[in-house]
Amino acid sequence: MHDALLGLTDALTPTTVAFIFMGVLLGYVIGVLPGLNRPAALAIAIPISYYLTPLTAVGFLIGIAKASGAGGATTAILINTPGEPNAAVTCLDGYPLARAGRAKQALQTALYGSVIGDVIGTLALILLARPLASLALGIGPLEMSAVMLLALTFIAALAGHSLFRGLAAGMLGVLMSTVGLDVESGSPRLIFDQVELMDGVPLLAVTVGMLALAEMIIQAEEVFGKKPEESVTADTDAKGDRFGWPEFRHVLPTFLQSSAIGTAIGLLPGLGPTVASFASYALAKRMAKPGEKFGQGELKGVAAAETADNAVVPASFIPLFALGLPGSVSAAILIAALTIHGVTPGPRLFEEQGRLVYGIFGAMLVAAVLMLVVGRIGLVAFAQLTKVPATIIIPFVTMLCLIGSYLESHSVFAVGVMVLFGLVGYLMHRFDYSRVTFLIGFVIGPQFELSVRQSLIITNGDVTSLIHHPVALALLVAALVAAVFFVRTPRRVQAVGESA
Amino acid sequence: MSVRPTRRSVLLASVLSAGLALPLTSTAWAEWPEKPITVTVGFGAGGTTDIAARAVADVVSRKLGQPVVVENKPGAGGAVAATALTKMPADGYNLVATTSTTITLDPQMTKLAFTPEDFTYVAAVGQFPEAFIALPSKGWKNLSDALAAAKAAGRMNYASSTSLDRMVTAVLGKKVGAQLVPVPTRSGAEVVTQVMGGHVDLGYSSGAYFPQAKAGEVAVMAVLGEKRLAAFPNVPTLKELGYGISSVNLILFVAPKGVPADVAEKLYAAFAAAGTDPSVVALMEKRALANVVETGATLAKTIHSQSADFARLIEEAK
Repeated sequence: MHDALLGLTDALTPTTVAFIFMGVLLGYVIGVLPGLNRPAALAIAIPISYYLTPLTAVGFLIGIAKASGAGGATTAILINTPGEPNAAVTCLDGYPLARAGRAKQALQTALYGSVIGDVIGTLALILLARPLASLALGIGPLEMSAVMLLALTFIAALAGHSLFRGLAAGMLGVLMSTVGLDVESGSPRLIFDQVELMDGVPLLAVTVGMLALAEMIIQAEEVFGKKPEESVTADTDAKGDRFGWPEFRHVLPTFLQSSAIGTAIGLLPGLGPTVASFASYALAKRMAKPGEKFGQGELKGVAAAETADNAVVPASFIPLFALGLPGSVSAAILIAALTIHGVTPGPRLFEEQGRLVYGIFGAMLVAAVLMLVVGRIGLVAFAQLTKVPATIIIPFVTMLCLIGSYLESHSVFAVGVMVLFGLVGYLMHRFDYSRVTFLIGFVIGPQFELSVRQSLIITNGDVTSLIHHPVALALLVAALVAAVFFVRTPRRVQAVGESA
Repeated sequence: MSVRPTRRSVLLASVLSAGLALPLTSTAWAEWPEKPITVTVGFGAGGTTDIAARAVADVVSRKLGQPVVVENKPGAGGAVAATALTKMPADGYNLVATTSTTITLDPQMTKLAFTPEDFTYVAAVGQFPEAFIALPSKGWKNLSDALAAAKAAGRMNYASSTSLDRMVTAVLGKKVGAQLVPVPTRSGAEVVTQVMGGHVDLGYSSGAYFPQAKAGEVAVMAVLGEKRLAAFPNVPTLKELGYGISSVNLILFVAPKGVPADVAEKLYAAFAAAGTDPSVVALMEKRALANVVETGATLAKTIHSQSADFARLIEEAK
């Protein structure tokens, strides 16, 4: 309790608030600019945070993570281009609304939805992480393996249009994560005598390359190929384009329902915001009342997508703080940031760094408030950013990618890795293999391998000893049931994906 | 700000110095250090090695009257930074801070592009408090009890975090006639969690156990170093328990081989002063490092004898 109060006070010091504010501002800009997405922005920003205290660094990064989600809606609504992959769902109703002269309504629905989802997700994190962490000591390698197997089942099934491609992308990620010293014997694997690869392929270089650089290549291609979508401006004085109490009451049930979905999906490691916005949109559509035309400009559609998307981020930190298990690519990058500052996420974090953890929780709430304020004031100003031409964005972001990957380890090797994975990411995009699924495999892979091998040693390879681990057994059964379900009903799963 | 040499001025200087090489260099060395010194840490920012290196660099910078720039080049347990150092000029301006096992053990375990002969040993400041830990509820007084229990059961799991501890336990297992099976983990922190959760019986940790051991949540069974730890005076060393082996891991500052003697002497003096500086002593205590400070020839001897010790250990573990 003492720690909690101290930590929350830490979050309110002017310096911390200032850095969260900068993060939120930067996050909005990144979210609005098409192509720069959350994990990539986080990865690029980490070197900057070297020079801050742990709390201001994490506050800064959390500001970016949260606001970039909220900002991603702007381009989706105004120019029908998702600023982030998960904002693709926001386009479905957001763009029709904008064309019908209701851009401001749509933008505000997205803003309020983002903030509400974010606050509910954060509250769930604050309430659940500590109790879960106290159980976590009892969660051994067997239980960890089972949790991850369950998560991987969902990831493979829900990642994209095709179960096969989802699996292929995920497995490629896992394969890439096996590069480096073997955890058990210490013998090098797949490193081709490169000392730099002994610790594995560098995470930040891969993330920046796969997401940011690949996106720049894709956009560069579009600059030469395709005409941009017609842009719609948010006219502040347009009649009938007001977001008032009636509108709020109309979408409130969707806000709450989508927050719950986002939080639940965030809890399970690896599913992430894209799955959450699709699932939330699908449910809202199924529950539509007569007269609500989803896909043709329904506020609830925007609300469903944006709320769930933003609830996922804080909720995906629950397994991070409780178990040290990254629930999303963003969470994995946050682990990297915490480790840089000498903080190891995991069950002992609350005991050893209670004040810092509550400081982070406090920072997350501060970020939510700032998101609302900045979003409300800057709504129209940020919309102007959608007009920044790609010919300026592409070289600028490419430069950031190069600097960011160099700063991580001061090595040109990492820059080479980043460029290589930029090309791999581009090819995956062209052939419709999910890059995010690849990254989840890459991030979870080492932990999964380690847990499985630990389990095999501890049980001496004896399957029957699972009887002594009822939790693990139950999770494995659940994974099996889910796998059978997904294989038997592939079309329903595809329907969710293809409604984009 | 220093003046950046242009290509032309460098060319001019090299043409001039070609004729005057000998006298020029000797006067240049007399003024050492005339520019900032770079210490590259072989591990990420924020870890024990990094924090200790920064504290030491601070004092060294005051003693030498030149800034000491600390950079991080993490990777392969310090081997990436050590490899890069061997290609740098031995002018005393380039140092690497890493753990001593990067040099004494790692080249014997994996294929690396350096050996202990490739460095000038500047200083060691602080020693890691490596130890075996277990749950107090096991009721073991020290490692002998634990190994007796392992012998009775025939097989015992322990949480491992380095290739070093795998060797040490392999030798221990042979000596007592029990199979000690390493459960790999990725960090000392995870070792402590696995031990505390009761998932393994024993654990090896190089220092992460300290707060829990102080609080009595885990019990320290034995320390691996040559001497007992000031913080746990009742815990015996492996040698005291009669196992005849030890392991020492120091925070080490090295330069490339062949640093001129007068420059090296200046470095030794500055680092020795840093090792006794109150700020560094306080930090070692806070980070649970044993207060060990060695420089120059003494250190070089220590490193070579440790390297030989590890070679023997590797043979014994086979």
